[in-house]
Amino acid sequence: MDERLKTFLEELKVQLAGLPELEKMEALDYYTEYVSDAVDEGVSPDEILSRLDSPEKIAAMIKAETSIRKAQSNPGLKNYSSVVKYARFSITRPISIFLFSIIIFCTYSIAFSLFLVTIAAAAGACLVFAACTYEALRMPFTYITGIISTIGIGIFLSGVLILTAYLFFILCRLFIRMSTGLIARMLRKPGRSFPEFNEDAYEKKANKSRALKAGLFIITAGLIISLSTGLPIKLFMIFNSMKPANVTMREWSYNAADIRDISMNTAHSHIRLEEGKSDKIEVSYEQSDWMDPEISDKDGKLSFKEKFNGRIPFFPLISMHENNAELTIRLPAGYNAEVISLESRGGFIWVDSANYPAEVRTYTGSIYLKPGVGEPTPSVKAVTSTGTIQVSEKDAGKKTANKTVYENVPSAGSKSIMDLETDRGSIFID
Amino acid sequence: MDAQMKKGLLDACVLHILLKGDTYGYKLTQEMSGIMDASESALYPVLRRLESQGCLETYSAEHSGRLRRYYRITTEGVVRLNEYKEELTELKNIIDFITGGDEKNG
Repeated sequence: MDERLKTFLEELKVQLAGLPELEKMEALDYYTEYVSDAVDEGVSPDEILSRLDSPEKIAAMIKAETSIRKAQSNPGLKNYSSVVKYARFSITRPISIFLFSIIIFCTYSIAFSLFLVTIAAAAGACLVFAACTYEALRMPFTYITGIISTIGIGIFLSGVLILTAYLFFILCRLFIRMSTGLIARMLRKPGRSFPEFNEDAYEKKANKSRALKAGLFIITAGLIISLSTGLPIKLFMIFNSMKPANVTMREWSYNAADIRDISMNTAHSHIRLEEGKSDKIEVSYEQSDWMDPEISDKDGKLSFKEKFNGRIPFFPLISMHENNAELTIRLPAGYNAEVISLESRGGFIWVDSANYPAEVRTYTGSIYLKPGVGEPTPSVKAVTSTGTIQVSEKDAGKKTANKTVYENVPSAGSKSIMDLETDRGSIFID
Repeated sequence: MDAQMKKGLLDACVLHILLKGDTYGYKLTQEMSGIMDASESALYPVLRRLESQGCLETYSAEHSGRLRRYYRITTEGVVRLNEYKEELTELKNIIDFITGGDEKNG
């Protein structure tokens, strides 16, 4: 065969790149056969080439035709309305119209709800990312790994939501396609139902798998960024109420004679009040790296505060979960304080010896009270909003619509008043 | 000519030629070139389209040492051709009307 004809076919092969292999082969076979036939008929190479379009144009025509055929065998969103339009004209009997409108109504409703989920998940992705970025920017700048990690978590979560949205989008599209196909089959001339073809369907298909890849990439990137700094593990441990991986023991001790007033406040560490063996007031605290203790003993008042140092995102949310680190206060035997106040947002509080009048408050944690050995039963007032109250392992207290109240005021010799209150936790009195 | 209209007419021409007997790409092109002003390479997409719609089928036969692909019209192709013919009768009336009007004006 003439060199120029060979070059023409070679060039055509190059231009057909991107088509499915079979499609490409069939096209090349056709044009090879055509050229060979023309040569056999005695047509000169110049004449043959002048009759044919350029390889670029031929390839473009074939690709256009292939994509149209794909769209046709794959009726999608765009073709849906035209099917419905066509349906209105083709069915005339009232009963068919009635059934048909029910089907259309149902398919539209289901498709619409799937579509709403898609939108919600997509909006959630934006929201989660914005919230995490906001939290990250509130962290101290010296804690750069925490900032990066929080943004990483945001990327990861939004990636997950993006994929969820994509999944529901696919479901929605699949559903519409199936119902479109069903409706088309119900009509007499399904071939005529799709007068307008979606010419760039072929290209869009490639874009879609790219979207999937991008989503997976975002998830992986976010996961690597956040995991590399260890923050997710910390969060996981807090949510599962495990002791932090690294705690530093901090201890203080005070002369009992100097302290008349004790006030302890923690975010999510447990508090334990018990009788100690020495004659001093001893405070010990297991410090995790995202909490700072603040302790002072001014004017006879011992006050402890567990303060959040900004190294964990969404702290108010997390602080509802106790993390099994403990703050322990040991009082000397026979010690008499004017006021003891114990407060924890997420932790549990144990009062092992109810010989001291105390106010005990928690938000999500439970309260355990053990009366002192050999002491008269103390006066107790206990209130919980959503939890239960158990006295000696039996349900006690009066239940009303929004809280349970238990009160015990022994007639004589009751010396201390325990005031216990929890919002979501339970109260256990031995 | 309008691309969409031309597409339909090309389909009709190909089906009409195939109705007279099976034929192959080059010969089909030669027959077409006498009727319509379409580039010779434009026929392949038309054949692929008709094949995918089930209007024609192909088979290979040996010819002077190489395989040649032949095209044969199917029953569905015949039905489609008749549909085209019906539509074209309508079109012909329109054309007659338009060109008739032209004569009056001219």
